[in-house]
Amino acid sequence: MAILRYIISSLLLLSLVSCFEDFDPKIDVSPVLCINSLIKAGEPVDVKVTRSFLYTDTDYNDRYVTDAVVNIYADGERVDAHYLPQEGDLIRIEVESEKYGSASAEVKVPHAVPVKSVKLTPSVINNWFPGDGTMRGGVEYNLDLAVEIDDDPGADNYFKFDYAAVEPVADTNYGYDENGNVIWVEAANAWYYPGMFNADREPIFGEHIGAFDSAMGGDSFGFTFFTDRQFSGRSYTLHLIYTGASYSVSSREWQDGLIDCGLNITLSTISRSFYDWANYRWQAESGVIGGLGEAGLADQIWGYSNVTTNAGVVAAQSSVTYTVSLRDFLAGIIGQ
Amino acid sequence: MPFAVVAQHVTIHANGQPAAKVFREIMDQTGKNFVYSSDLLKDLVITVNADRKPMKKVLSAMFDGTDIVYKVKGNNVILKRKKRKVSDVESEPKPVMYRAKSPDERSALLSELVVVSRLEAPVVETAEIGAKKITAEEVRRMPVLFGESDVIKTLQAQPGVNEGTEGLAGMYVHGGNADENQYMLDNVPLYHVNHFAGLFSAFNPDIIRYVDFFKSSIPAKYDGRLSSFMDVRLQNGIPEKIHGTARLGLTSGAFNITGPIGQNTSYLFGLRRAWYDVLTIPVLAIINSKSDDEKIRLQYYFMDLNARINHRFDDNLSAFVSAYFGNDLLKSGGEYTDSYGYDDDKYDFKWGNIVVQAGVNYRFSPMLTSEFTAAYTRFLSSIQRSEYLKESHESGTTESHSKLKTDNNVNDWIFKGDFDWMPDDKSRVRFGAGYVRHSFLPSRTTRDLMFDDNRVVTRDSVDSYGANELNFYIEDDWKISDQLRLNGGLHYSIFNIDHKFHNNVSPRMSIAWRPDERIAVKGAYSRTVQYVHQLAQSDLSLPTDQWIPITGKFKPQTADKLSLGAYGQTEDGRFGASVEGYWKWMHNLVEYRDEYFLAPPLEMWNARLTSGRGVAKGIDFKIEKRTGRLTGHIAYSLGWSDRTFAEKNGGVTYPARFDNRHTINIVANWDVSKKVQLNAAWVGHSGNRFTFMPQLWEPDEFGRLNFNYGADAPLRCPVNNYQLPFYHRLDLSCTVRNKRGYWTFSLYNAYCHMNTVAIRYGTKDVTEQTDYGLTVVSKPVFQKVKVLPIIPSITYTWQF
Repeated sequence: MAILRYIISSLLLLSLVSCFEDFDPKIDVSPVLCINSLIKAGEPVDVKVTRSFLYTDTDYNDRYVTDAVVNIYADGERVDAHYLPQEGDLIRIEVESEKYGSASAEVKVPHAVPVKSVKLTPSVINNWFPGDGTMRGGVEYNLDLAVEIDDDPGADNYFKFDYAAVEPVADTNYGYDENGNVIWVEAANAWYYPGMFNADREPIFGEHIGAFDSAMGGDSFGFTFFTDRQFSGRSYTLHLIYTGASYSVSSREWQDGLIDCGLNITLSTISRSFYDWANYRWQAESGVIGGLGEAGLADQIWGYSNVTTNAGVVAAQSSVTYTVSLRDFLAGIIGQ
Repeated sequence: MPFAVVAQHVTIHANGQPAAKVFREIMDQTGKNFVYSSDLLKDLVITVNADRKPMKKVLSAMFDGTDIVYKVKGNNVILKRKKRKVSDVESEPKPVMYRAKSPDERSALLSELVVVSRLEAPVVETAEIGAKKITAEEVRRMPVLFGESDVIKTLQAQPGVNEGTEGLAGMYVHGGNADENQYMLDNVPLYHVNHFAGLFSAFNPDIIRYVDFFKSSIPAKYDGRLSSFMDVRLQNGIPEKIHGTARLGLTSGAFNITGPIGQNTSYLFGLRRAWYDVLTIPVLAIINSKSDDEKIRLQYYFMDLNARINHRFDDNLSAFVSAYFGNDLLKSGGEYTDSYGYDDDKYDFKWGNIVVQAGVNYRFSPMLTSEFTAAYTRFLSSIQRSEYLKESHESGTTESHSKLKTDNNVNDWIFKGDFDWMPDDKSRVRFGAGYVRHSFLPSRTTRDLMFDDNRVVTRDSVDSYGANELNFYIEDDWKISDQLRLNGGLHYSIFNIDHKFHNNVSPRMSIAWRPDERIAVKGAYSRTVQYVHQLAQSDLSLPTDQWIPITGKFKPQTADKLSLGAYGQTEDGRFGASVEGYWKWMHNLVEYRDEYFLAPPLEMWNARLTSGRGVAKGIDFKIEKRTGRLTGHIAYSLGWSDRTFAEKNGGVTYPARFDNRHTINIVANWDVSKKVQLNAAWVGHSGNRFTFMPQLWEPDEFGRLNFNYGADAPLRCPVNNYQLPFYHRLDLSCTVRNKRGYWTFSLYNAYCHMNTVAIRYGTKDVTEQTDYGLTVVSKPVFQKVKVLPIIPSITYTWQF
């Protein structure tokens, strides 16, 4: 939103600036219950209950609700703390508090969508390995992952993509002499950086961004939520691009564990409430409408909520994880 | 009148002609308007012959020997009856100039027929409620922001017209929305009427002749918007010699010229352009000189270009062609170079309006005149972002191009004929028909991403709509008796879109009872229909504002309005007072629904909308002083306006954003001397409504959301639940004339009361005693966002 802020700043400058004046609106507010929960298939349900608070209220400890009674229902049946949600379960959370009243929310645990295939295409930028199998050197590269998924027909699906680096396993840097004593040996180290993930290179991560938002500089940097609106009931290939990835290693001898690195990519099917929450977050912080609302030039936007009190989000997700190994790529670079 | 760019010489040959015809002729040639009481010229016929004589001499000759005197006041020629002395009463008027018609000659011209504009006559003599004619002089005298005279900001000082957001040229009439006002330039609608995000309107004040504005009883000729109609008329006379102005202000300049081409043809050319891009050149040069790696790009300007050629074939036939081009252009972005490569990022915004028009005025007989118009009007808005990225590495370079472009435009072909018929001395019938071929492209967004050999092109909504609009109208202004006048009419329209036909009859009726020459009581009913509306996400006028037609589940918007008014004026017409009440019911209004921003752009634009209704009611009071060295008015409005939408505010009725309960406008113009004028305008109104969300709730971040900072979320509140503090502002201007032109000095917000436009979540640092000693702690506080302090400006206008 750099450009938007620049333009708004310019407007304000031309208007000989605005100013802010502290004031007390002197209004009475009634706090309401707030429920937050991200329900994951196969994991116990964790519910966080707080209450809403006046913006100027700085007593953070007073936001907890100590008299809340939480009831969880799965497909209409009340369940206990040992319940593990399953895909397709309709879960309802009800909270009662003598002080703050009641609140409830409902969410269906979505079905996970498996990753159909992953195609890995690295392109080397710099290579400092001699290429003779010596494990001393480094490589800088870009990585293009083509991840194909099949969408369930007949349902509106929402997705979230995540990844995590799989770090190489280095050998220990100590050993034993013939007498069994611990001795220090030259360390065999490997450093791995998965690269910068460019979410804005995959258009589907930007489907929530309007033309004006985009023209104002709004991008999908870090935003990895998407829907099946454009490929409902069909397959879709995500193009995931990591730039500036690097790997370096220093070892006197070959160790398999030093090239066992890569990415764990997780595709979560999420509830609509989760997607709307993420979308709201983006609009409030990076969208034009959020910026104009703050400046008093448009309606302000409130926090998205699917709880009856309009406070909190009850969301659900089912995930599958796929490991992308760079072992073959790195072995080729090193010359093994 | 020293400031108007109009001819001061007239050529006229009339022998026993009705005064109406003679005045119309002089008005056409000079741009002056005639203001008088209807009884003054009853049965008056005029004989006058003049070739390129100064207008004042012609007028003096015309009224010489009569008991009528004239005074040129601004752009008006005010006619009054001479105060009679005893000797005058006994004397006879000169028969050469003034004679009563014989019964045979009586063409039954009513006194109102001589009124050159329907808003020319004093308000006590007409049937209309809430109508106002604004002269070019009034526009020029209104002190405004940056000294940019503005038609819409002049109208904002009228009762029942709210300005909306501070500084902007918005117009909210009797509780309506901003898109419910129809702006016309010489009878042709314009869609885009704002520049610079709405700070200025698109009408070049230097070349307008007058503005007719209707907000309560709407003439049957007009339809297509719910709240008001504003017809801006440009100068169209045939001057004897070239006249013009060149104006230089702090933010814009203008050049206007008008002159004759032979005996019967004239031209008018006006150009206004903002300076902002010129002002930013040195600033950017300094910024960009500091770094070789980063070059910032920023350019903004707006411009208006008007051109018009008039030709008079004979006394009964004249024609014109004209063109208007107005646009805003904003370019920004930058070039960035580093060790990894090069990035060229460009943002281009372009929006504006084009009108090309040809018209013919033909007089079939002295009793029947006509105006035929053919026009093409185009609203266009384009946003484009393009980025070229080149990255270098050991194995070569990678390049990527990305381009995003969105277009929104409306193209209208307009054909219409308007007739003005005076069948007898009691009626004036106006009728006509029109056809408009609309072509809408609400939004077409194309994304084109090319990364090395990969290319992805997606195109969002590509639906465009063609629509046909046909309309007919007829109205009669009927003087039933000296005390009673009725204006009744019908406007019938057919709007054809998506294989659907929407038919609507818009009846109009206003009636005036005049128990005394100085007093009138009026009542009116009007129904208006709107087939096209504007979607705007903010109060700013931005290129994202889309004009879209009624489609799908949405029905044409309609408004039914009842008005009552009482008017009075002193015998000499110097003072006038009015009170007008209204009650307006609006149906099928269209608005963004709650949380519309969560709907993806790929969805149809109308999936984000909801339909509902609105009610507005109120009463406007006005006292004005019309003549003398000190003129002006004091107006007070009491109003309510609310909205109910099925999918907004949970279906609960809420106050409109600009539901300003009390509004006071005071305008004063003082002619200190022939060279110096002082003008002041004060406005005060109840604060705008604001959706104030004082409570927050703490969200769970649900794992990693890489793009946000984990702020607490505002707790939803009723829409427009909070009223901002009372708004008030004083603007001053002083005009000082010299031999070549005049200086205008302006002070916007003269006593520097910065008004609140919003409330924000802020923080303030306080020092507190803690276990670690004195510590500066940042505390959350609510803050008023206040804008626009005192802003001086200076403008010089050179006249030639």
